[in-house]
Amino acid sequence: MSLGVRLERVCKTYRGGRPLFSGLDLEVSPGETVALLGASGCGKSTLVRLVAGLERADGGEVRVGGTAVSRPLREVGMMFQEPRLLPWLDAAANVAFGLDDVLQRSEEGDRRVSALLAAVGLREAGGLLPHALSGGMAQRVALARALARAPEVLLLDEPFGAVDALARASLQDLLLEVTARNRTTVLLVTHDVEEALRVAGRLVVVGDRPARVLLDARIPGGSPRTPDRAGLGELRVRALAALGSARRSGPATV
Amino acid sequence: MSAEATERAAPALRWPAGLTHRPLGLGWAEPLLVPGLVLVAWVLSTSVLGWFGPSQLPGPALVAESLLELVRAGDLQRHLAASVGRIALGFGAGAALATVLATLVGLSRRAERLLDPTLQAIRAIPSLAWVPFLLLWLGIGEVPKLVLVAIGTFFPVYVNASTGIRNVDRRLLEVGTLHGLRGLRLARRIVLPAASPALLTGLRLGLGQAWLFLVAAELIAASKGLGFLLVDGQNSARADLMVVAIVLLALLGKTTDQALRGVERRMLGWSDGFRA
Repeated sequence: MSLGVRLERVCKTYRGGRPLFSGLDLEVSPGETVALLGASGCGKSTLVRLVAGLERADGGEVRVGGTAVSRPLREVGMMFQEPRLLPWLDAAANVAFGLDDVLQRSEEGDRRVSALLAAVGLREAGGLLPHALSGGMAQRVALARALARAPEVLLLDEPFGAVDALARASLQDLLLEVTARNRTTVLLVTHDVEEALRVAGRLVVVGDRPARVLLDARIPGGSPRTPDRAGLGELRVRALAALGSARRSGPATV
Repeated sequence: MSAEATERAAPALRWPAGLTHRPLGLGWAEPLLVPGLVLVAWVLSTSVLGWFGPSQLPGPALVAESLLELVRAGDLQRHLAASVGRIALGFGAGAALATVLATLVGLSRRAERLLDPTLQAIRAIPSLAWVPFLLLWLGIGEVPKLVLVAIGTFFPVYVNASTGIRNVDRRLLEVGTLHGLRGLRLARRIVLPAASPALLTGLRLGLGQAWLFLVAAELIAASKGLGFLLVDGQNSARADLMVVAIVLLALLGKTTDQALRGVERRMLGWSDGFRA
């Protein structure tokens, strides 16, 4: 059984700035994939960093499966906008870095790393150092590392923004396959409505400062979806309208 | 996966065309070209043209003769062992202490506030100014020489390592934190590897300083070592001994630096620097 994520009356203000969140509520059910959209600087990345335990809320509570988050939890995996591979480790060792300490030094760990590299299409690239990988390959390694511990909650902060369309589609398919198999709870930050409509089960648009939820809608049908699927057109229009309103009212930068 | 076939590993970076390395066609002997020219100039100016007398600058033949004489008498081995031993101990102690303090200062704001201003103030003192105090406090035995070499080593290593640690990419630290690392485990698995280029640069600079301070220490109060050989040559008006000492210091300095460069190449093979 996977874990859910709950934000209750969360407040966050960076020093010298306007409040980012002032009593924000959001709930992600276990096994659900939620796409979080919003204008630049509205606090999407901060929100996932709070769930990851990389930042602390000034007020309110962030819970993962009932546990209040005050530091990174073992059950939570995260993938960032950029690969963030450790440059002194080869691709296989970077994936192994995501495993628990005991597994890292075991044959089972080696098997797991090989399987993950094969799953992201990099079976032959385990010995390559990060500087020898293309952007798309590096992001695949980062995805494999995030999945290494089989996290119950996966946080994705615009993970496919820097890869080409073909690689993005294949990474999205891989993500859907793995998260559906493990019933992983996913919180995906994206600026791409089409990506949200393709992979998520629910779409949340946040905007304004302090941020509030402008649109929270279920996405009909199973994923991955084709763009012309029935029912998506209206949702696309509503999402773009909410985003447009967020851009007009929200700040351009944090 | 289909996308695998469409992606290729990133090509290795190369110097821009105008900066490419153009070999002179001498192969492995290329680095010996300048020393060879110096040797030729030395022979010409001393043995052939006689611009310098043996008491000012003896020719290579006379220097080689003196070197053999020192070897036969066992003196050279004694001097070399003393100097190399002092470098090993002084450099080792100075580098180790500097690495530990740099790690503390680089990782902890409190340690930085507590220690760094004092260390930076001490760094501002010309290191050779310590010599009279070291002689006063520690006498003229081995200890003040080792301490002086350690002082010479300490600051380049400390400054480079602490700066390197402070400048470790925060995003990599977050990757470590996200995977449950903190404290010493974070230092060992993320901070020190990420700061290793700066640390190794500091070690190479520290080693150069160590040789400098060794000679200073041996010039002042010693009965053996290459610095002593130098001052002994001066006192006995034997320029040949002075040249022997200087050539050996150059060779030893170069050899130890080359060894450290080898370590650097092995440890920093992952670095995405230009490779000409």
